[in-house]
Amino acid sequence: MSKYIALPKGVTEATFDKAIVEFRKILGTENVLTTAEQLSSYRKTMLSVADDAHAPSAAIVAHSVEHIQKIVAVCNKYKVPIWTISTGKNLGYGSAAPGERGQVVLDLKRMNKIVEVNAELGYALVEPGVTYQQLYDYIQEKNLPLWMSCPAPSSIAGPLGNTLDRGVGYTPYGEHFLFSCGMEVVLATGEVLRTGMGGIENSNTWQVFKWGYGPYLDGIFTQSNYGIVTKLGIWLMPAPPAYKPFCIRFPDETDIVDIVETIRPLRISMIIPNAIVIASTIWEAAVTVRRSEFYQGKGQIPDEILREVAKKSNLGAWNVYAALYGSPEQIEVNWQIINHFFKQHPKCRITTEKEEAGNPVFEYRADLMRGKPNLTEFGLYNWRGGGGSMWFAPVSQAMGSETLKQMKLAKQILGRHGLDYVGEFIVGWRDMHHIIDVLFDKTNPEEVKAANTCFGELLDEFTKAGYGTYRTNTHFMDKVADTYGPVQRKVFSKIKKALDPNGILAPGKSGIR
Amino acid sequence: MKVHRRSILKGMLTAGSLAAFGLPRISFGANLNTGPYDLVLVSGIDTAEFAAGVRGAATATEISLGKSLPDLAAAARLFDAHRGKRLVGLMSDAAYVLFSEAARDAGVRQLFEGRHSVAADGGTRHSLNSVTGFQGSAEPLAAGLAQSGAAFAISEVPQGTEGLTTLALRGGDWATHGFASFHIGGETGNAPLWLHLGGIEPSQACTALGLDAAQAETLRCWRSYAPQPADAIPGWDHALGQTLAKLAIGGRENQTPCVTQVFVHGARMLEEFSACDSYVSFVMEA
Repeated sequence: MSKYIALPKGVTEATFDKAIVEFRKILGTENVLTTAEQLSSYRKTMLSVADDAHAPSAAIVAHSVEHIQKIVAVCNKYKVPIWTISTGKNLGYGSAAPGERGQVVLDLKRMNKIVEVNAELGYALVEPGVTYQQLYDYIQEKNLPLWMSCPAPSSIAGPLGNTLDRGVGYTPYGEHFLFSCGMEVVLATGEVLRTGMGGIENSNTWQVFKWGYGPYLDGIFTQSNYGIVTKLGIWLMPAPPAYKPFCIRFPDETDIVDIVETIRPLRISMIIPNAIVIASTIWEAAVTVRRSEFYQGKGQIPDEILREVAKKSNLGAWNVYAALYGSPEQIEVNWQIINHFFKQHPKCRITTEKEEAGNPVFEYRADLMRGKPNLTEFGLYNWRGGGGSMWFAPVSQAMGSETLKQMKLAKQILGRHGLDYVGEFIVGWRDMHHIIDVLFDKTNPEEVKAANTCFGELLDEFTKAGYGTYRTNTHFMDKVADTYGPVQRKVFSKIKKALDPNGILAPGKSGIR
Repeated sequence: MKVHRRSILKGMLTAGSLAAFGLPRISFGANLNTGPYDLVLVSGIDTAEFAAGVRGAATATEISLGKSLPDLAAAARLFDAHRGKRLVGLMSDAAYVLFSEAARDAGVRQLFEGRHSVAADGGTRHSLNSVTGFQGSAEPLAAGLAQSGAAFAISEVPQGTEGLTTLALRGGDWATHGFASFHIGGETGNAPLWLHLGGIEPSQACTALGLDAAQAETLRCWRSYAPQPADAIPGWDHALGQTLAKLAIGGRENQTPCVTQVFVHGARMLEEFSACDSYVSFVMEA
């Protein structure tokens, strides 16, 4: 019987022992974790699959670029695959567990330096272990006139990891990869690449000019396994003189069509400059109440119960969150425009901080839209309980015609499997991310099976309807990769073989081997 | 018997192995539960009964991290201030996600995790998972709940349960708690398990499991065993608090065999179970 809870594919225990010895020499014994109780937190996921399917063989904690260079040399020598995590908070996408059983988790949480924050030019250069909370606190302590952008898990997640997975936030800088500039990457060879202007010695433009010279490489290091990113530049927004978050609530599900048709021109023209969230009733309610307070039956929560939830919690069927930024005069002009367009919909209710004072849901949304990290949205995990959560995230045009049919399709598929539609639309510049949290009880084997089948069906049906998924969890990476066609997979694989011939960096990430 | 009910009970037998801490193929030899350890009770949501159970079994420093989502800065300070101690607590799902992530960040070892669901009629379902040395909580929890006459189902899947059919297991005097005990031989790919039934006819349970009654062997007493007498317990959370406190403080060699066990008490646990509340319990070492 093995002393390890899992072994890397194709690696014998004797070989792995040698790799472990070398990792210990590089990192120290305390940074090489191999026992079951040390690894228990690196194998838990919220996915519809046994945690054992993603059990690591070990977890190693690196503290520097030099450590990583030595680690990849060992990995190449013994063909040991590593799965890199930054803060490891990809909850609902695989958490801190490796993509494939037996991979070694390379944990970069101790590389947590904020290398630089430049207030005049509005950027920060951060290491993988820096959290949004850490960056936020730094900015506040130094009293810098800057706002960052963070996703909903904010406090505990990190800008480097979130940006590399192409996550989004809720300020005008919410398209995180778009607002990143310059990376430092350790390649599988151990060489260190600085992208963009970073290759120029003594450059001071690494974090201000994205493109550099020749092919733009930053993109290939996102959602991929082509290198280990050890520094990332991100742009920070100048703190505006004034800020006005607001909410518009609509009573009927069918209103979503008009909402998006009204919002899109305002968004494209940047009258509303941030990503607009259109949250369904359950999403709004689930943050603070449990499902069982309204419904204890099996199957998808009925619509009439949802209407009751909306009524009792003073919510709409759709709840639109957006904000205005700028001088008070600029905001006033844009506020008048917004009111003009939305007052054409007599059913809607427009509220601001004044009317929503004391409402924790409005407050957390308002905080996210100003880049202030918080944890309120984690309340979603109490809606159904049981620890299961998988994010399904198709992308569509920002057109009203794309909304209702997506919602109905999703609701139908979820309903077939007894699961609730917990969804929201995020309206970007011309696209919409349709974010659905497939929540299930992971201790109930029937629900696990249902969630797994449901997620697969969501992928199949949405793909058939022409909607691609922008991001997915480690259990469904290959399936999503297939939806983008064989040519893309071939190209990804060719690049992989060129950059990592021994396949040691996160094999399987985004279906790339 | 509805197929649905059968799959729920049958599923419990494999669900634990699905949700466990990645069952390794190691022997149960390493006993990590030495001590005794100082105990820290981490309280979150309204867990007064759990806390009372802990206090009834051990002395513990009590730290509150707030009623809803935990204050993570406070959690980080808690871990630093109590290095080397055992932490025990009961939280909501959301709070536990955050707390356990903070624990990982701080290098805290997660030794035991329990998932608990409560139905409107008071029935409870518990899924217990632990690393080696921390197995055995199902029995005292079942004993405590059985005394109170509650309907419940408990599955426990500790590490290293495979390939131990030859290991002598206590026959158990579960009859004193109103349980009949059966050994179900391992099907291909599944570990054998010990099934303890209270208030349920063996034939009902076998049907629920999809087994022939003939496949279930009544456990014989290979060695005598007198389960610890349990006083009437006010509730599952009180019983759980007591159980986990004793588990956490350690101080004696854990001689409980690493076996997969399921306790089912009350025929209505074979019916559909609709949870209206759920919680997560834990034992960690800072």
